[in-house]
Amino acid sequence: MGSLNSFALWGYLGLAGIAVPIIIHLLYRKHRKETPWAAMELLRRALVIRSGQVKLEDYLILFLRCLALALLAFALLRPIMNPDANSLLGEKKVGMIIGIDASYSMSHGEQSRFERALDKARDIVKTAREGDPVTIVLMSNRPQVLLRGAGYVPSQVEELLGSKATATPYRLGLERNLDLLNELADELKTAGKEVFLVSDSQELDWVNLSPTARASFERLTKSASVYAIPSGSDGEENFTLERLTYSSGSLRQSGSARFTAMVRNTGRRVADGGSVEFFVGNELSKRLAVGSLEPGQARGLDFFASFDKPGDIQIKAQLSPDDLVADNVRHAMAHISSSVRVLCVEGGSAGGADDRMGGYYAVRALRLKDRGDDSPIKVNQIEAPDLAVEQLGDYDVVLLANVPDLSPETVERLRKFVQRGGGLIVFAGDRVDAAQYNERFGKGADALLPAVIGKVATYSGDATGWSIGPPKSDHLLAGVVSRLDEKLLDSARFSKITAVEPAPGSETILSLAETNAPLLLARNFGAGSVLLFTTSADRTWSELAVHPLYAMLLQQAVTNLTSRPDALQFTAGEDAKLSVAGRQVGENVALTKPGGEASAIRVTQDRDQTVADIGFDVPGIYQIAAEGQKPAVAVAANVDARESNVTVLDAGAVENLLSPIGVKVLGKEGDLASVIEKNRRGREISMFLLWLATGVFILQSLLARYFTNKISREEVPDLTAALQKSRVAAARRI
Amino acid sequence: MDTKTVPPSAAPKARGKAQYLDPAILSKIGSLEVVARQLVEGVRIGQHKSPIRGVSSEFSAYRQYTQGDETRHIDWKAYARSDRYYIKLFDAETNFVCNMLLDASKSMTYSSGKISKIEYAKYLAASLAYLVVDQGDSAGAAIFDGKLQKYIEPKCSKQVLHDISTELEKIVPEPRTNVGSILHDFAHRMKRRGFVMIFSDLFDNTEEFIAGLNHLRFGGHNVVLFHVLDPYEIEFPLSGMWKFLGLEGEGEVITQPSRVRANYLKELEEFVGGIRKACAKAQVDYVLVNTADPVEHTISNYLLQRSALAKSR
Repeated sequence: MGSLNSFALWGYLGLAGIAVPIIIHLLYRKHRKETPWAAMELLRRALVIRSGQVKLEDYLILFLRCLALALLAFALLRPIMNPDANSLLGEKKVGMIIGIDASYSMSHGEQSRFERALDKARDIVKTAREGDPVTIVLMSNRPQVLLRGAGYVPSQVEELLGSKATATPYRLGLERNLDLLNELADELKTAGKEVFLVSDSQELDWVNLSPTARASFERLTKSASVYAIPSGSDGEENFTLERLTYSSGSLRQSGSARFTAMVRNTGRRVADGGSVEFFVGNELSKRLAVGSLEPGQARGLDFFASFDKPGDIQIKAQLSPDDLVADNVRHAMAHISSSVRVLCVEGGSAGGADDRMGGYYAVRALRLKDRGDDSPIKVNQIEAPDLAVEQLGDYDVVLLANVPDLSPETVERLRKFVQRGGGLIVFAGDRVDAAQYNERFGKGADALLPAVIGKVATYSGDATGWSIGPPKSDHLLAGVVSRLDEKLLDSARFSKITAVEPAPGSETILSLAETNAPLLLARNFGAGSVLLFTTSADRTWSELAVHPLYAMLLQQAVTNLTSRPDALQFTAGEDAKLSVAGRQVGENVALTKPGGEASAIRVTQDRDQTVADIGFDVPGIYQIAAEGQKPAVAVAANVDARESNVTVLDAGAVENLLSPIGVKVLGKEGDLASVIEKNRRGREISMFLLWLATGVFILQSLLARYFTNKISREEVPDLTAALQKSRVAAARRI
Repeated sequence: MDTKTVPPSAAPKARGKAQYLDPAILSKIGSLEVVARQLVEGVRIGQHKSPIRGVSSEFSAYRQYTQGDETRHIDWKAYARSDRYYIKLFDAETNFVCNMLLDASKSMTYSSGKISKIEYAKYLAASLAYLVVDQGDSAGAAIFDGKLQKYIEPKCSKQVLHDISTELEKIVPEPRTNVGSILHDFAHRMKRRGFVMIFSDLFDNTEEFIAGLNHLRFGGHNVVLFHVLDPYEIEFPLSGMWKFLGLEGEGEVITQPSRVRANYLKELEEFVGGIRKACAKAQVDYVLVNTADPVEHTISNYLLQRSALAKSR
């Protein structure tokens, strides 16, 4: 037996209620009237005879009153009883929650899985009685409650399922939906609670349930009967445009960059993927054939885009239509700058094979020889002491080449520079004062540097030094290294590095092959980013400065730090705080959503930066227009690629997975509605208890009245008459 | 407290001389006379028959002369007819002495309405004394609680009424009655047979009281018991939770009267019935007095019934 209301609340109220008649009884005894009395002997004799009976009657009345209140409290607790235990009691009322998977995978097929799910939902809701509470939820990463505990009205439900229920461009996000279902189940105040999950039973959602989802299921099954109902499908074939990303190249005016569209066959058969069309702006730029792909196989299609003007450029890739069109388009934004200004701060002393300082090599790596002064990267080289007077706002990137010490004021300026979107590259070479850096750049969550700098480690092996290990990160800079020839990469050797301890939130991009010690780390800070090389910028510790990799790394690093293409990608169905540099808190920015819908978003403060809270409702481009000196912001939102894997589990497999946590699978055989009716259980006995409480209350009233009045009604007239007769008789004897 | 009881018309009036001799009561009972159920001994010729043959005009019987009889009582005509000496006997008519015994214990102070039992008893005693004196007999009074507090010698003058009334006014009720021992004392004290009227609620040792009654009757007294009870004591109509405080120091009792009413009334019936039987056995008049009844009604009912019985004999 369970209860619908809080046992703690109604239990205590019940105890308080039971105490009421006892308190009244005691107060009644206390608040009595007084009278002098002469016939005490008679009264005492009467009491001796009656006291036992009176006490019994009193206790009986008191017991019945307490029982009535206890039953009332118990009824308000709304207990439910398994009808198997006693089918004669209670009222059978069922609260129903139907969760319909509305993730975009449900759009798969000629007759979509979603349409099938709606048909299942109609079958389920038919089993409800008119007036029974019905809740309908469209489950996705943004669950939508179509009907919340409303009394069942067939026409209303049909209208909702027919017109307002549509699949979303979001992934399922099972955990979030289970939390909501638990909340909705708690709201139901019925003896029977049933939760129906109508889904296409994607493998990716159900095979490996997260501990959170499992815990939510267990909680849900404790309060309700939970049923999983596979919606069924037309098939499982699908090609998805999994990714459209900037891979390499120049994101500057007159530059060209490579974008990669990753196409994957998520189906179960070998199939031809058709073609992918690439658009720059709204112009079709290129069409590439995907070719045949094995199940699960992915293929990257590279597309080069040239940029002849600065600004935010929309890139779009579109895959040939298939059974699931929602994942056939992806958007990307490229922020093209006219030029990049780099401040190179020279801090080291001459050393190494050619006795040149780190700044020298950095400038050479950034300023391409063949472009001369027209180079899109303009580098200004200064000595470390001059940094204190330099206007950082004039630059996009600051490079600290082995700078030994930095004043607290300078560090603070650098911190604000990065927060506002600037890029910082630090070479922690031999001259760097580790203790001072660690103290001034901060530690932990507020640290500007991606690592705590430690002692210098020296190579002691037989080779010429440590080599760079294969990158494990998917950072764009790691991609640069990955594409490099192995022999060429192996030639980059390091005799010394600065040992570091990565800070929370940082990413290790490159490591040494031998010791796995971090060589290059990155960290986002505010609207900007910081890169930390644990080697020297000159040739004292390594030959990296004269290695071909060095220029590639620095060029790509500057591009990443200024354009941050990874920061311009979002997922539809999620919310994000978009950095809006140059805006004031409280100011409204005009947001244009895909399709042209405009809305005003208020700028708020998030830590040290100004942000706009944006909900990415649909895939496409979201733009905040520029205003005067306030720059424009444009980002792309795409469907979550994980949802594209439309392979599903059959009902048996779902049952094997979910039955251990108490979830039953319906719809394997027979009529769904009749199966549900058979499984329905649970009776609320509160009404019965209320009647019982009322009966007990009436009984005690009648008994109290009877005990009080039986003497005066039946016996008293006889006694009085007897007294009168005795008086007369006595007189007549004279 | 419910005040449904009807106060007697002899409810307390302004205090003054002969307060308990209420004209309103006396005017209603004045035409009645107290008729002795038995012959009583009188000190002077009156309208009541005396068991002592004496000087009277009403012939009773003859008896043979014996030595010592006064010769003047010899009926010479009978001697002439029978040649024997006979003494002519006459029924002597004499007045009687009536003593009012008033219980002045604390229990008599109980009142559920406008008049307490003791006040009612005072009116009753004073009014009866008036009747007795008014018809030429002697009336006296004894006031007692645990012991005899005051005794007013019986007289036939009107002054005695004033004395009785004055003493009644002075009563200060005390706890604990011992009616039985008072009756014993009084039986010893009374030299001549006469009327004894007792006014009490009799909330006392019943056995001792009955023994006292028997003692009085053994002395040849004509006893009338006015058992004075409050209507609440008779009907016990209280409802709700009550705390009863004993007037004679019996402590307190907390109960719901409605729940014990039946048993109380049964106890009352037994109590009253026991006294009534004892009275009947001892040939004592028993009058149950409800203080809700007007005093004159109580007196007139009693006297009328007594008169009717006397005439029927």
